[in-house]
Amino acid sequence: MKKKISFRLMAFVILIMVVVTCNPKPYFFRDNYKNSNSLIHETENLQEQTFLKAHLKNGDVYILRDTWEVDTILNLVEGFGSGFDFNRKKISEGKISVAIDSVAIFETNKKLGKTESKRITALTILAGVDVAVGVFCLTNPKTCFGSCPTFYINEEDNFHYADAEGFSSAIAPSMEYFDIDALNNQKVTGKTFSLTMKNEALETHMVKNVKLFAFPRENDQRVYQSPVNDFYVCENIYQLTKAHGPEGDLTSLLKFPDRQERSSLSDSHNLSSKEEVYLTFENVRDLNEPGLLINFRQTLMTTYFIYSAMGYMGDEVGDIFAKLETSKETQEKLENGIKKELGKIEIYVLDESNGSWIHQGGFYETGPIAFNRQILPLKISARDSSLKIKVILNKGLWRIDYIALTTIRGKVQPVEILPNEILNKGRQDLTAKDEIIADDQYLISMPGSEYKINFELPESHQDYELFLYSKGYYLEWMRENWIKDKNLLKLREMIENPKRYLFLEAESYKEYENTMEQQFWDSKIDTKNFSYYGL
Amino acid sequence: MDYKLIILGILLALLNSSCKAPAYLPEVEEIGVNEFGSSITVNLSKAADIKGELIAIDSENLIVLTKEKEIKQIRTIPFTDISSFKLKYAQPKNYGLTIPGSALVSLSHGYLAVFTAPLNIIVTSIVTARGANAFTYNDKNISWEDLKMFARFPHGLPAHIEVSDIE
Repeated sequence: MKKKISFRLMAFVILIMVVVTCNPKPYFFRDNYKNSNSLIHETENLQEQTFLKAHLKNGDVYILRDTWEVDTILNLVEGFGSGFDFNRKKISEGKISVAIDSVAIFETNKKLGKTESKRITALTILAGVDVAVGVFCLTNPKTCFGSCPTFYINEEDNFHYADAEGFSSAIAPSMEYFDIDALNNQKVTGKTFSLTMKNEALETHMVKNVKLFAFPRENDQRVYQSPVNDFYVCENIYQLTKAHGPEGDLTSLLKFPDRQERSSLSDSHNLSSKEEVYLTFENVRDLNEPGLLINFRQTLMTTYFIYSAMGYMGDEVGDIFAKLETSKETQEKLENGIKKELGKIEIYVLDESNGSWIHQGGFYETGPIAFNRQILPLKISARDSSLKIKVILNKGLWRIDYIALTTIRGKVQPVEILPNEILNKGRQDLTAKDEIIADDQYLISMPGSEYKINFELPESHQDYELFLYSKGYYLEWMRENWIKDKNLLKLREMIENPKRYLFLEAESYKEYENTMEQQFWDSKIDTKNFSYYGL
Repeated sequence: MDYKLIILGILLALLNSSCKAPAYLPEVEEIGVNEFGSSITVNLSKAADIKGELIAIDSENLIVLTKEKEIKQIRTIPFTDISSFKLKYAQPKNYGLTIPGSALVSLSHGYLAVFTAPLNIIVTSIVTARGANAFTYNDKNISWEDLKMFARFPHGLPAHIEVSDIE
């Protein structure tokens, strides 16, 4: 990644150098005439009467403006203008007569018109693009400015490749919670493991704790996290044999963890409409204690609701947040009302003996940026080597990258590792370290902040499966353009009657969704940096 | 990455603004009525560059009036010593501020600045560079003979004038 960035920067600098050193096509506008005859004959057809400069043999120059004529009888050039000596000090002004015999050379210049038109056109088009993008970002700020703390194993990565995002739902102090994300790390080498925490949004991040959960693992073993934060050591991976959804065959999309995600558009009549996806696993050698693995994240739907809620609060955002802090009931309604309506990614297994679908549990993690990689232990009584699974999920809410089966070997407990060192702009930040370790303090991270957090692993020769534990909350910066969207009635409906809200809001969301999804899919065909992953 | 690009853009703008044309050059609308010679920068093969007003050209030399620290000096430069030259005959339009300006505008595009910052900096750099070079000639696009037309004395230095008297 570093190499790519360096290469791009170098290419860009070279391009700039090429541009700076190139010259535009030159203008040719000046002519000299060594005698009055050639002056008369060669300028008579000019559409526009040009200025005339008469350079005298003694070094003086006379500049005649607009109206001038050659008197061939008296052998004079006459007109109105100015005269200058050889040091270009003015010696005369007004009506001027110059003896042609004293002139060494005549000079005319065509007027250069619209010399800047191409450049102004280019800047105008660019300004148009900038304004359009600016308006887009103002109306869809989450698209442009991201959300919640993002964590990176490779600090050079951008938000498209965030390895984890912390406490996405905690938009107020009272909504603070902890979040555990699988880092899906490669084999760990050495004793130090580093993560970079970034604030890439117009938000204030209040980070109470960051630590690692480490699980020693052997070759061919992985540790996965369940939706209720149990951890399982697993072996074997059984790929999907077949996947089928409303749009048709999904096998190739869901078979590999390749960031080629399956998602759908929301229902234009009701945002809480559900859809079903059917999965088949065949030739599973070990169906004793199977676990369903899934890599998933959300679309921008929940982001839309958070921003809408802020907009509905308008200039009363402070009062409403104060009320939220003091009313547990309102807080729970805001936090869980819509969430409950939207539901989890629910998993069912087919009981072939009676044809019924047995509910196994569900996955839910807020946040559209980083992938969640989780496991759901399946409660089945396996009779043969195949398994049929039904997934019920809200239309337009989820992006699923990968689904597979694994074999659970046991439940394990993590080794908790606190930060050993925190670097802020390359320098050790002891205050930040104290704040992030203490349970009663917060590290306040402002937009643009980056902290490199180093952890010391217990054993240098042991490989670990690592998970990130982060706890805190964040405060969205109220943006001017949201104030005009104030609508307390809608806010009330969102909190008190989320079902109705999701029904009525479908049309508005579809407009937003279409723009977002278009951007997303357009970017999929592009290179890494130009993809739209993560939003 | 974006910040690097923005810093690069600002540096380019500063670079551009530091290369101002001499005050005696006319605005493009006044080219026809300007009494002075054009500004020339002569790159010498074995010595430092010389920049000044083009006074005259004879069969073997370029005569340039330089000004350093308010001291004017006539320099006679043989063609054989010249490796290249660049002549500026009018005040260029300075678009340099559009580079940092557009880079700053990109900040309002959030993540999309990944696309818009390079686009802005490239386009404004091209516009600025082309604007700065709009009213110029160099040794590749003008001959010595045509270059004479841009001297204060296109017909050559008058015989009775001592070069030391020229201001």
